[in-house]
Amino acid sequence: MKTATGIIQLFRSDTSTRLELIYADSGIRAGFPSPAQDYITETIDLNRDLIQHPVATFYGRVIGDSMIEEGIEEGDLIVIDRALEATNGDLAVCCLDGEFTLKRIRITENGEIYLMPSNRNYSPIPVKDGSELIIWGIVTYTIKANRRPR
Amino acid sequence: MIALIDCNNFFVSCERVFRPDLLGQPVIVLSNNDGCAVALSNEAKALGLKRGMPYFRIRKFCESNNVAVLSGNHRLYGDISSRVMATLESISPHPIEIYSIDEAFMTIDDSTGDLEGFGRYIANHVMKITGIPVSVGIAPTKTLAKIAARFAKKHRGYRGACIIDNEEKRLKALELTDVRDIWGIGRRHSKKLLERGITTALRLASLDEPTISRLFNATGRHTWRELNGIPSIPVEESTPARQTITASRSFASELHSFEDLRKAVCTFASIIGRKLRQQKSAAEEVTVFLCTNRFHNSDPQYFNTTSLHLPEPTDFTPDLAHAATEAMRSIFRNGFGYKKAGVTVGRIKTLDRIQRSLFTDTASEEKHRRLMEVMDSINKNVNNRNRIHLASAGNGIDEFIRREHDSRLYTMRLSDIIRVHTGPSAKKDC
Repeated sequence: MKTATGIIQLFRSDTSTRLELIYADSGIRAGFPSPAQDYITETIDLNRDLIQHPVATFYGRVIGDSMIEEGIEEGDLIVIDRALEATNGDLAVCCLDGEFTLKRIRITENGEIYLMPSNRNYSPIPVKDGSELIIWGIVTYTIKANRRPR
Repeated sequence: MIALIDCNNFFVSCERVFRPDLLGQPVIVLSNNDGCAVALSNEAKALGLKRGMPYFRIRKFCESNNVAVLSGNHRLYGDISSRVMATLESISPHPIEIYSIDEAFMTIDDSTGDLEGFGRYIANHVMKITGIPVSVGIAPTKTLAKIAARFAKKHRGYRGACIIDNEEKRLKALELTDVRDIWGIGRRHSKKLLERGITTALRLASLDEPTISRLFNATGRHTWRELNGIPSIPVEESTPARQTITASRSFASELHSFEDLRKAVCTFASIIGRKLRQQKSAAEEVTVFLCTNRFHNSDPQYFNTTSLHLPEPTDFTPDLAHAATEAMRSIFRNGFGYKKAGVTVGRIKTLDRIQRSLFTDTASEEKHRRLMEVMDSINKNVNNRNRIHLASAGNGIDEFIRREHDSRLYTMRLSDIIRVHTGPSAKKDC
């Protein structure tokens, strides 16, 4: 192509690659941008950070006082994960006599299983051979409302 | 190979996950409005109760036999279903086909050595994660997998999984399967077959191709081929958007006035509008049906249905409600007690495929879209789907339906979660 000054070479634009640009969430202003802008999408999401297996996670409300010595009180909210395998010392929701019960699992060296309360007024419950113990799920977190009315 | 995973007595099993006191007990779940039994535990079946029995006929029997009776809690079942499906998806080598709320097909690679072991692993894993017992059938075709799953469900000896992987097992299974229990053989066809003395799946499979072509359409021919071990119905790996959406209920007591029925169909239209917007589609046809109480033989009976074609596909609740009202107006007759009504929308198109007519008012369309967006976000809370609604819809569903044996939304509402006791012998409360 001829112009007054000579020849201009035309290039085809190359659209085969992409460059992702950060969207300016805080609007565009003249002046110094907020240094926090690049980090704005990062948040703490308890669902994402604490719940390892969302499909296997259920919630329960604590009734009674047998776990009081480790600070688990009536009204506390518990997060229950069914995907975890029960191991010695786990806090577990078990099905006993048709209701849900919250206990620590203790497995002795010779393989006996006990459901341990955390209240000296209650005694451990031995799981006898042949009796059916269903471990419904493992408690991963206890959520306590510290401003509940007393 | 193809696996069918079928949840056992699904609605009852969902309730039992959160009610350990119901394990081993006879349990029935009632349809909307406590109309009839839609799900039964094995213990309830053993007492002679059957699916579809109207509740008012078996109420006394249930009371005297200590049968636990629950109103259907479909939002809970929907949540548990999605957990079951997600669990299956997580262990499946390929995308699964969700066939219904409690059934899914899974493609299994030929390199899987121990099919029985894998089948039992599926059953055990779903049980562990979700608490739902399932039966697994594995076979070369979907139709045979369905048959295998029936065996797994019926006979405890299979321990959750039945495999049809050789000719001997296939013939044995077909011989033991009633022609009426074959997937894809409807009532009309099974009647035709029984008249010809074809009582078992084996006899059907043994017919020659010309006979099959004479008796059946293409679907039936596929079923015949599948019974013979030739895969003919593929596993659908992505579920297509639904072609029709229905909202219907039977009412607690019969409705007599046009005004009451109008509230009902407007409520149904609202439910459908929300579902359409959720799947980003719009409908072009609205059908309404009305019917009287068929259990009151002495009352005059009436059933009618009509469809209305819309000028343009819409997902706008007021337009859907208006169309439903007009359709209802044309079939409503005075002097009847209406027990049930419903709205179905059809000719559903995804929003990106909609042809605009010359007269489309795009400005008001944009206003409508934003109005619905606001309405949906206000009604997002599962506890109150009806916080904002059409005046013509009255107070929504709760105005018409009855749920006497309500169970709780254990997984969806914080006030409904399970109670976990720590005392030694707490009172029954969960």
